[in-house]
Order: sequence, then structure tokens, then C-alpha cells
Amino acid sequence: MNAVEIKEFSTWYGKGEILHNIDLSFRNNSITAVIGPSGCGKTTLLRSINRTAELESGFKSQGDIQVFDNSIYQVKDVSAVRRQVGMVYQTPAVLPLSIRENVLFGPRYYGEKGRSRLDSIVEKQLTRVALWEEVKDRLNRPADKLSGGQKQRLAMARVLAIEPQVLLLDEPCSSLDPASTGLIEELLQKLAAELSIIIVTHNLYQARRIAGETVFLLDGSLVEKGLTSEIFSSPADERTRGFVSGLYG
Amino acid sequence: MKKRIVSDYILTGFFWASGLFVLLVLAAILMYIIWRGGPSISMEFIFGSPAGYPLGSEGGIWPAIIGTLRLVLLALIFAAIPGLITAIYLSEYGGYSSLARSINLLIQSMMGLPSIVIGLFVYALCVVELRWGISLLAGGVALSIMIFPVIVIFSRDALRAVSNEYRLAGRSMGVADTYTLRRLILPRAAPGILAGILLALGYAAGATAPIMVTAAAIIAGSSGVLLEPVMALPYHLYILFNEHMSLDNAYGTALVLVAMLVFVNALALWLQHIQERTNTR
Repeated sequence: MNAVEIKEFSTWYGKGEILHNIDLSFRNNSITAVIGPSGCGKTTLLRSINRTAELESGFKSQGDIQVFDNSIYQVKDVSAVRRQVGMVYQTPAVLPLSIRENVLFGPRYYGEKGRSRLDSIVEKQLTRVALWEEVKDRLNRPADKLSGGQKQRLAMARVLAIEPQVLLLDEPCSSLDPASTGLIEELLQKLAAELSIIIVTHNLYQARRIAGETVFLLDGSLVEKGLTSEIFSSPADERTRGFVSGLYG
Repeated sequence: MKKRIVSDYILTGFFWASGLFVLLVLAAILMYIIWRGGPSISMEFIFGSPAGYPLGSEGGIWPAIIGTLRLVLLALIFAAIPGLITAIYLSEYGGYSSLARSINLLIQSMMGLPSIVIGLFVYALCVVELRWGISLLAGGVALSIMIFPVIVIFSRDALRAVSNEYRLAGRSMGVADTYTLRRLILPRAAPGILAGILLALGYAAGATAPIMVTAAAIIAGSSGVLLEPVMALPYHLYILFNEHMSLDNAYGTALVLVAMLVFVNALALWLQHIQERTNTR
């Protein structure tokens, strides 16, 4: 089943076209990597899927994106879309609250109450991102004391706490050390059993390690999408071959 | 090459000297006031009422201290909440809209309004037209108009200094902006906002012109009735000095006023420091 279906989708910021007529689908319960050189529109594509691209002024779009058969650009209630499609950013965004309140930021807003209910959310989500054991004794301490890798996992727990069905990650490991990166990759592979994961990455090795399928974008257009193994070993398009073999980047 | 290094030294020295000069002027003012006003300071001077003939040549300044505190408090009550709401609009909701730009321009112009003009306006409107008379209430209104732009600008900048990351984090989870504002942005900006309010408070406490024509009296009790005139430190100082009643008491009054302002400003600086530290972390 496809979690996200993108149909003839184009975007502009002002007069500049960023994405050009994209047709793409992302499977549920799998990890898809989006690769391509800087400025090819990867991030805009990702942000279009949870409708945060439109927060920048001058954004326009055409075409359709469906998340679980629901056309998200037809929806009036943007917040429902953003709740269904979570987003993790490149720089780990921890909120200026305690570790516990970081996790509960979304759930509290969406009406979760009661000490035991909230406690169980905190434990469940921190366990999901393999942070529980590390922080269970200091849940009420400020979150900004955590290390970079821990912060990124906390940011993931915060997003996961509102139970999205699709998780978007924009180069989540680019500011992390290899050990933290490895941990997050492991996590993503586990999480893929429950949701659809779309990850933008500059690190081609990362795409090869974790993604079932890989999408290659160039200058705002889709060049090729296929099984990761095929994209890297026998790409159909000459431009993909050039990119994955490091001829340009 | 050598020439440039020499000119570097000369310029650096010049910058240093300029800074030092300003500091020296400030220190000289403070020292002079302490030297001239120090001897007048006593429990009786601070907690007593003006006495002697002409009035104020002896006795204390307690009603003036209380009057100034009342005026400032009133001005804060009138200006702080509208100022903060305006700042929130400008920083969080207005963006680059033409309304926000006009408000910014207006606030900036309000900053440049001579305080005596504000005083005259409030005199015409409140004292005469609304028949409040020379009163505590009218003085509070005049001072609040004067400090409103200060509070708006400081609060706006404190809010803007809070990382956009938090706003984006909230929005990308579908959380309403007001929730993010309340849980994350306002607590983060609070020290900066408080610092602005304190600076505005100091500014109001030291202002003479707006209260001269709206609120201040040469002698008044410390009853605190809104529609009665009040004494105030800067005005008392002006009268003591201008009418040559008692230069010693004038310097004593100046010392009390300056000490209050230094305390308030130091508190504001400390809060600002906290704000900067938390927002760069």
C-alpha cells in the first residue's frame, strides 16, 4: 500500500519553479531515501508532504498529494495534515522545556491528560527512540543539556508522540557523529515496521544502508525511482549513474 | 604595512579614549551628586515631609518618593499590557503586512515625541477637557504615553530574539501559534520583556516635563487619591533648585532619585543578560 501519492505536483517560490511535475509514490512500512545535489528541491518536496513548505512567503503549488488516499491540499484543517505527517529537521530542535515536557508538547496540546496516561506516553515514546534508559532518571531536567545525538532522538520522540503515520526526516544525521548516526539508522529501520519513513539525505551510504527504495531528484524534476540496490548498482538513467558514482554532487 | 599597523594602534587608542571619556563624565556626575547630596541623606530626610520656610528648605522628601512610585506604577498599569500585546502582534502575527509596518513607524515616531508635548496634550485632554484637574491619574496617563513605545520596542525585540526553531517545531506538529507562544516563546522572552519594562519604569521615574503640567504639586500629602495632585522626586528637585530653596536638599533629592534609577537599570541589565544567555544557548 502507498502511504504518500504525489501526482503532477509542481511548486514555486515567487517566480522560481522549485519542483517540476513530480509523480511519485512512497510505500507504507518502508524507508524511502530522497537523494540529489543541493538545491534540487529535496527539502521542498519533503515540506510539501506535511504542508510546511507554504510557511515560506511566495509559495505556490499545483497538482495533488495524497496521504493515505486523502488529498492534503484540499484539506481545510492544515493542522490535521501536519499531525498525520511528522517532520524531523536537520538541526535537532529541542524545546526549552524539560525532557518530559518535550515529549508531551504535542500530546498535551491534543488533549492528553492524567498523570499516569502522560507518564506512559513519555516512557513509550522515549523507548521507541531508544532514549528511555539514558534519561529515565532525569526526565525533569532541561532538554538542552543532552548531547547532539540524544537531542535528535528526543526531537523524534516529540514528533512520534502525536502518532503520525508518515515520518519525514530532513538530513537528520548531518550534524551528528557516526555512533549517533548508526543509532538513529537502527531506530528508523525498527520504526519502518509501524509507519512510512521518507528521509532526505546527502549521505549516499546512508541511503544504501537503510532505504528500501531511493528517489533521485535533479533540478526539481524526478529522474529516477527504484529499489535502492538497483539505483546504486544499475541505474536506468545516465544522470543517476553520474550522481551515485560521485561524478557530481 | 607598518603605517597601517600604526594607524590601527592610533584608532584603537582613540576608541578606548572615547569610551573612557564617557565613563569619566558619568563617574564625575555620580561622584559630584554623592559628594553634594550625601550629607543631606538621613532617616529624617527620606522618611520625613517637607518643612521650613520656604517649604522644602527643611524636612524630608517621603511624599515625593511615594508620589513618584505611584505615578510610575500607574503608568505601568496603563502601558505594560497594551505595549506587550502590540509587541506580540508585531513580532508574531504582523509580519511584513502594511498594518504592522505602519504600527512600527508610529511607535518609532512616538519614541521621538518630546515629553513636554505629551504633557501638554494630556493637560488639554484630561486635566482641562475631562476635568480631572492636576492629578495623579493625569500624570499616570502622560507617563504611560511616554513609556508605551519603549515597552513595545523592547518586548518586540525580546520576542524576535527567540529562535524561530520553536515556532517551526510547533507549526510542523500542527500546534496552534498561540499555544507555542504561551508555552515556548513568551517564557523565553520574559527576561527581555521584564528588562524593557524596568527600563521604561526608570525612564518614567526620572521624567519631569510630562508631570509638570499634569500631576505635580509643590506640596501634597501622600494620600494616593487618583484625582488629587502628587509630589514627585524630579519635580521636587526642579522646584528646590529653581526657587533656590535649598541646594543641599536638592542634591539630596537628586541622590535618592539617581540611586533608585541606578538600581532599576542594573536590574534591567541583569535580566537582559539572562535573556541573551538563554537565547544563544
